[in-house]
Amino acid sequence: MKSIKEKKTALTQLSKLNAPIKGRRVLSWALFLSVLVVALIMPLTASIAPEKIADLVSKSPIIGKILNYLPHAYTVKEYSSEFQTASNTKLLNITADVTGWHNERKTTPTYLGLDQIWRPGNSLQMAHQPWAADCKACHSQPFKKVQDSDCKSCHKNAGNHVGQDKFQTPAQSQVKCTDCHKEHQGEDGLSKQNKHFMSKNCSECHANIKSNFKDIKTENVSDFGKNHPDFNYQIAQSANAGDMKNFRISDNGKLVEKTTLKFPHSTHLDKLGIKSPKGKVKMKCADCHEPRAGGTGFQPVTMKQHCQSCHDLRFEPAASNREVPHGSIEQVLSTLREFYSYLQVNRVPVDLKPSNVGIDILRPGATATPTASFVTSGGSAHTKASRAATSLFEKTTCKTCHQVTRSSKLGKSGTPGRDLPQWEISKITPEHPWLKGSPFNHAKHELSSCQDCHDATSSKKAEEVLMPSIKVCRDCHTGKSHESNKIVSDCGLCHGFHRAPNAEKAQNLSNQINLELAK
Amino acid sequence: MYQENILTLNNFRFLKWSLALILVCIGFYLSDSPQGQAGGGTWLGYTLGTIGAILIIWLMCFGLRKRAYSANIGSVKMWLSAHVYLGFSLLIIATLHSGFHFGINVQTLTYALTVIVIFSGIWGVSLYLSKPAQLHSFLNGKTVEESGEALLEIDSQSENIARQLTPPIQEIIKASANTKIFTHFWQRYFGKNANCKTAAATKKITALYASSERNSLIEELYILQLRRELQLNQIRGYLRLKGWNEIWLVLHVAFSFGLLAALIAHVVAVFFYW
Repeated sequence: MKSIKEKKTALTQLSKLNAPIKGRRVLSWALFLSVLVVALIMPLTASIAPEKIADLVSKSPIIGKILNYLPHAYTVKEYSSEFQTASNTKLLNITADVTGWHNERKTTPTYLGLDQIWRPGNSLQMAHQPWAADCKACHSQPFKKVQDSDCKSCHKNAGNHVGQDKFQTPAQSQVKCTDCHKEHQGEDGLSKQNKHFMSKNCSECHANIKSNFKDIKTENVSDFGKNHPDFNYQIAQSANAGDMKNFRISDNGKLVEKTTLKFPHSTHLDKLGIKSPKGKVKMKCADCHEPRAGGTGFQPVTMKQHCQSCHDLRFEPAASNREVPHGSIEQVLSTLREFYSYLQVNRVPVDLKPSNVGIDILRPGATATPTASFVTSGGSAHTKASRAATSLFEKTTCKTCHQVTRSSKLGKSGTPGRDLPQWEISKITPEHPWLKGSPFNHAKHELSSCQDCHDATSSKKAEEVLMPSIKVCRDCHTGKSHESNKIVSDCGLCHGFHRAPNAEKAQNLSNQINLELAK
Repeated sequence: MYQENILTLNNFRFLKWSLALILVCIGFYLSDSPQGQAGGGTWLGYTLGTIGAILIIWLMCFGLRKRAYSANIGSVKMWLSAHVYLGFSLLIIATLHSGFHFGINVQTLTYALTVIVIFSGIWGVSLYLSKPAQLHSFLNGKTVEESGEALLEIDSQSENIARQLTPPIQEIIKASANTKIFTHFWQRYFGKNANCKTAAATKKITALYASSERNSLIEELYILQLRRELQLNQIRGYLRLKGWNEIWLVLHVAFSFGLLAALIAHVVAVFFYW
């Protein structure tokens, strides 16, 4: 009897083992539901109703304890101390605006940052990383793309594409911040990324912009290498600041900015050197053109810093260390008038041979014929000063660089030099940026020589604009498509999209230059 | 002439479809120069993602088709062939969709589950193609029930002989008859049972046979127990193969449901924080 029972057991085990393996349905449901809860339901509710979950957790701490085991950005304690109270501290005070975001929109950051499980693999750009755990800082509305208003809640100064008053362009109404600025692309700044992929979007409008906007001055552009007009340089039309017109090299062959300054680059950059008080000197571009910090543009060239070591302003060979100031006419004339009057009245000796300078004090390029001293010549102090002034303005000094004309006007009343003959020095055109819309970074081109782009050694007149044509740039830069031995250059490499602040910056820059020149 | 199977069906029709789909996707991926990095967020990324999601839903529908006996939308065999090849193409499409960016997030969870499901599927295909023939040979053409009956037959014969011998021998035989095919559930996936009383019985009887005088009854008993052991090992091998044949599907199906949940979460997440 016993053995029969045992036999039955053996068969039962065999038929059990032979039956299909169970648990497919149970395991499927278990996996489906657990993934759904952790990856969808929890982040979703934590994002939609963070306050309610926070309330729930404060009422039953067990839920908080369980939640602390799940993947999240903050602990329950951190979250309640940093996000829940209206007077948010630490995290939200990184900028005052952050509190503003959530307050303005009446939102609260996702509970515990449970939505962090949704964040894509690439990190945010560095500047945005403080808000990496707060998705709703940028994604303010569910199921809507990040809005311009989300960006502008911090980036209040971001300018429009072109003046809103001039044109209603698609760039204003249809282009969104996110069309060009792609986040979650690694820690490189967004603006840096855009240098390499803006062109596709630009040419959508700019390839045929002439026919779409009748009054527009911009030329059609689709690619730097293949279809880009020559550069539109700003050329000053007079000495008045801001009186400028734009010209392209292709329009006139060579660009000329009429200036009254006399300055031959060729003489100064002579390979054999140029005469100076210290003998022959070989000059470099950088002796006068000192780059601004940051590499965009140069500091203004000034008489005092860059010219005067050779072009001194001495007027009396007998008093070899006296110079007139490089200032207004009345300052110069008054200096002369005072100098000779003082000598006349006091009868003091003047140094005839200064110890520190050689006897032959010459302008660079002048022949070594000593100028007569006005002290030793006869006449009143007025006569001496007049002669010295005439010599200074018309023969030896001012005329070297400036356009000088005799003036029939009276001298400025109240100044010692008013009774001397008068002159006028034509104003020179102010220094200004050549390109309005695209700041060129010299620092990034420092390994090439200046002459590669600016043909200064053969330039004999100051009025010659030494800015290069687009051909020069195309020696190294090509457009969007690859070309051997050339740099792929998208629009963003030279141009910005946000016109207004750039124009403002350019204006500020030229104002600053004018101020410095006026000093 | 080879026999047509799910892989060679219709002159590799679905292999060709699948290869075409893969090549088109790779072609688009290589020729695409997106703004920024490749990934799910570009137009190609969205397209590949959509293709992938549709594929996942369609592949899961195979479970429905399998049960719809009366359906006349292509044979189950054809569906299975398409399921295998298009399922494999999903591996490539999902990888391209990711743009080779991974992290600790729902996107990568979805990808990981996809990979698990596809590889369990590939495993399943290899089992499906190779194992039924092996299964058949394992029991020498007998059914499992017949093999079970054979065990019982051996047991009753052994019992009869043991009755004429000493009680210790009776105990050995009784234990052998009572031995479990597998003591622990996991043993079936290795096809071995270290605690097999029949194997122990043959050893003990061999020892007895060597130490005592030659006894034809013991010799007979030894042959019976050795047969029993061989029969048991056949059954174990069979159950091992059968176990593996079934467990891949349990994993394949269960993980595919996990994948479905992750896919839903992934899609909702992308558009929730668009």
